[in-house]
Amino acid sequence: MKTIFRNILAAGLVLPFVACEKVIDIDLNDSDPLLVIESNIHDEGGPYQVRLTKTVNFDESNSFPGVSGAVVTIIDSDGATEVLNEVSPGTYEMTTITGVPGKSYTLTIDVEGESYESTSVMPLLTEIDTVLVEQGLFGPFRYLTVLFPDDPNVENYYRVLYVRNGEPDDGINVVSDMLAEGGDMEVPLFFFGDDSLTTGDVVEVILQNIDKTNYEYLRSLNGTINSAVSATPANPVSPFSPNALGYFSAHSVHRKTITVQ
Amino acid sequence: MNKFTLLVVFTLLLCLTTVSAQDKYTLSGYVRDGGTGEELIGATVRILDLENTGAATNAYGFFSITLPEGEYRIAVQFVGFVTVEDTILLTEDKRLDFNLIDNTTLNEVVVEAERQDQNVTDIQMGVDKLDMREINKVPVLMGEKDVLKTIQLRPGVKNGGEGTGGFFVRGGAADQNLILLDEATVYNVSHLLGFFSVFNSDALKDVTLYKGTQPAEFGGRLASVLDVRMKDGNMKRFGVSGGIGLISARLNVEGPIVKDKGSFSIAGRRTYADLFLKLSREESLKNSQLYFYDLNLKANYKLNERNRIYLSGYFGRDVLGFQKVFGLDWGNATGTLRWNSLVSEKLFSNTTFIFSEYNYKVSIDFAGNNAEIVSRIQNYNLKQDFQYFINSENKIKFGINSIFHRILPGKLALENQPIANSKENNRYAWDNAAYISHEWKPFKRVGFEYGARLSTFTLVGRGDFYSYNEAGNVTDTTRLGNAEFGKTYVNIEPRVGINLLLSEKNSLKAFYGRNTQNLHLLSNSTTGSPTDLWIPSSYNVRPEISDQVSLGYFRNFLSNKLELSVETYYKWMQNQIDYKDGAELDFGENVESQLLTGTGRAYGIEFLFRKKVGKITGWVGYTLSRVEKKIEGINNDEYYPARQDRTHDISIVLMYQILPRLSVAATWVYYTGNAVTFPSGKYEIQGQVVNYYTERNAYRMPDYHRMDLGITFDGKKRKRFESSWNLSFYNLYARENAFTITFEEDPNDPSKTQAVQTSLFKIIPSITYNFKF
Repeated sequence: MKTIFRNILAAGLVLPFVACEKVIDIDLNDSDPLLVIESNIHDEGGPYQVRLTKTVNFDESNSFPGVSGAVVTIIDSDGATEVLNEVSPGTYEMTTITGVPGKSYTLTIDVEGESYESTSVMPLLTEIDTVLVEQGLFGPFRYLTVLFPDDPNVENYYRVLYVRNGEPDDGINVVSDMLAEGGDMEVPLFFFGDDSLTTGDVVEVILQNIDKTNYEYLRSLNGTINSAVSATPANPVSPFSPNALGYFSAHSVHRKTITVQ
Repeated sequence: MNKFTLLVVFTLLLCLTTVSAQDKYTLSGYVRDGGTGEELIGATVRILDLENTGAATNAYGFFSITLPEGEYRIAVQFVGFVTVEDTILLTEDKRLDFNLIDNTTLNEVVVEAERQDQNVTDIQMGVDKLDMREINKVPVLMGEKDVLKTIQLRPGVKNGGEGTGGFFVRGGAADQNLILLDEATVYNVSHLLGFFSVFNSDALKDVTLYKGTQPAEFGGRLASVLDVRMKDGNMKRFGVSGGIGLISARLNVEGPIVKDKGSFSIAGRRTYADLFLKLSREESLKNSQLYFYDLNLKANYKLNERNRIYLSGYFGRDVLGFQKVFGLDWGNATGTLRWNSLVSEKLFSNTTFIFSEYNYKVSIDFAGNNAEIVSRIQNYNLKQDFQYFINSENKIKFGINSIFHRILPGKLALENQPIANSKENNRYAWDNAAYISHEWKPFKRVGFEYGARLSTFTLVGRGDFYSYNEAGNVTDTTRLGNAEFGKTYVNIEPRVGINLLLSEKNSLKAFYGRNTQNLHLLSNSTTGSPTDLWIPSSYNVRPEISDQVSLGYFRNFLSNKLELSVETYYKWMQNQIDYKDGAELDFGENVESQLLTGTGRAYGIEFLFRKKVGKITGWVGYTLSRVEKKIEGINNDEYYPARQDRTHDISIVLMYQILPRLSVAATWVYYTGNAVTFPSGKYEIQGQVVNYYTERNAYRMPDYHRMDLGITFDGKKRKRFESSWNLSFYNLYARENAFTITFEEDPNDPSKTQAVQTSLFKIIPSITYNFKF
């Protein structure tokens, strides 16, 4: 919602004027490569992967080399431990550990003389109740509303994603239950411009229950990605200690598919 | 006021009164515009027989000067008016009002009044009084003449960039300017997200900027005070003036309520850009709204020769709507009730009651489910000011000020849905101040102005106030009951200025002053937004404090036709606010947990070369400056440039009266780009390329420069009707200045990332028609 708000604000700002864009050259400093960790565990089928890469300088091409030779360990709250196998350079896989809602998981990565650690709790599963196709009051656009129950006694955090006609959405779209304590959650999914929702579209809606750490991470990642007008663009909050880029998320997942009539 | 201060005031008054000799008499009165009856602010009454002796009229046009019995030649001057010279015999206290004649109303173009040399002789430095006639000529965007845009062309004052209404004074942030309209605080000076200001020039009489060097009667902000006074209205006859421009129309009606006893002025302005939206073929634009309006109202009445009351108000609002799905509207409202009283020929009193409010409302419609966010800041302000004109060497100002603040950070309401945030969690605070300052000229060529301001700031319940640890988690809650006093901050702000008149033509001035600030604006965008949040000092946020020293050299050439000034300053700042990495500034109650505080320093040198009379007038200003912050948790706790840091800033303004009815004005500005944070690398997460940041504000936006041109053609003067056409070109040579720079995937080579610069304006011509009868 915040992003929509900002976009509309920006549109309003530029609306009456002729803005023009051009590509410019900026001499950006080089930076020391920093470790980037991307790791997930969930309650759908594995194998769950941990991907280690590094940052590159801005003028380099977008290929991010994997980091090999790390010792990657995961421990769950029952004490089960697994050391992950490196299946391809920089990609490590779990084989025995399974994702169970309610359990917590601790990931440790030993690489290049440093040890990084992060813990994530897999929240209990919330199931999608209904997905409604709604008509915007004005204009031709249609959008979806995703309805699901919210436990008012716990702080809950959600991420709502979708795959439309086989195309996954690359949005962040996290919400907290601040807006719906005691009630149902209602999360709108918008499809703007040329992507407008049309009859016959098959949309799979994915509801992830995430923990607070990952909510904070994703929220600030959203800020980093949409930081064009931010006064203080910065890296997302690191869930790792010591700081590394990336995240470790344990989440439970529910999916519902609809066809737009 | 505490007992100690009272005692000091009393003792000072007592000994100064007894010093004055028996055979001295007071000459006092008002200086007015003879045509309209408006009092003139800052007009000088000079005693020609005595070297460097005289008085200037105060904000209400009143002057008072006490001299030994005798006969004196006096000269009364105000820029743009014909000087009046007179000889008076002072054998008793004398009340004398002067009516000056506007020199443009004379048929001969140049009746050259002897130029004022106030810039050299005044004790104050870092003060800039704008000539309202200049404002009408300086070309601006869309032809909307604007005091804020004009003041940004002066050295030491930097504009906030295109699309921002804010301005920066001597390294201060935009919220460190106290902006007063008839003494009422204006919290947001932006219209249309910053392209225009809330000040309708038609309604204004006087604009003065103090660059952090204000006398003790002002307080509450670190960087500057912009004191804007509205027109009182014509005392002699009814008049209508107005203008029609490309985006807005203005109308001003003024006249006497009772001739020479009371008058009123009503000025309104509204844009009509939204009417063009209706013509658009695009359905989404057709149903959109985008406009603003302003209304300035003022009335005054002289109860008798000694008492006068003024009532003034301002209302302005911006409305922005997108297909009724999204709406944002914001605006200020102020009201000022004043009572001027001449207690004696020497003691001038002004009692003021002020109300001021800024609020905004965001509404979002999700298929009939209305969500609304409301936020506002209000204050009720009671001021009592005295000016005591003891004799020609001594003048004392003292007063008290009490402000009650009420702030609603944000209230979220969902239709048909009671939710946790829907309560009005108002914040209350009580702000008190007492001040005294003494202007003293012990020798003909040496003048002092020194004083102090005692300010207190108290949080008032009800409310829960949180304390946070470094991680931003709540460690402590202080619960205040209804009207219960919480944390109180007390500050003493000394201010000292000295003027050393080296000769008739040049002077050296020095100043030291401390300022404090208890209201802070949180803004997480480079452009500022109507939804930026004001917060009071609290258990976590301490008062901002600045100490400034400045030194200046002032010199006039060619019998005061040319002015040169060089001012240099150094400013230390404490408790400066910046944001944590990735801070989220929303209307939530934990917004203070997103802040970091530290120290700051600003220093620079300002040059101003100016010509105020003749066919060619204008100025050249140059500022070399730096402003840095040092905040724990940012950039390894080392000094880094603040966002508004700019090394070089040049502005050139030239106005040329080619023919009696044709004039041309051109401005050129150049400045170093703002400090900005750019990425130093990139990485991939969830299939997206994300920027990697290493340092805050380590880069620069590209240098900015722009030229504007304005041509004013005055219509033939008929009996009472005057008119003029103003043609202006904004960004004459179509420089593409950077508004934002973003980093995105190269569409031709997805493996690369490129920097894309967005510019807002190329050349924007506009035409305005102004009339007056």
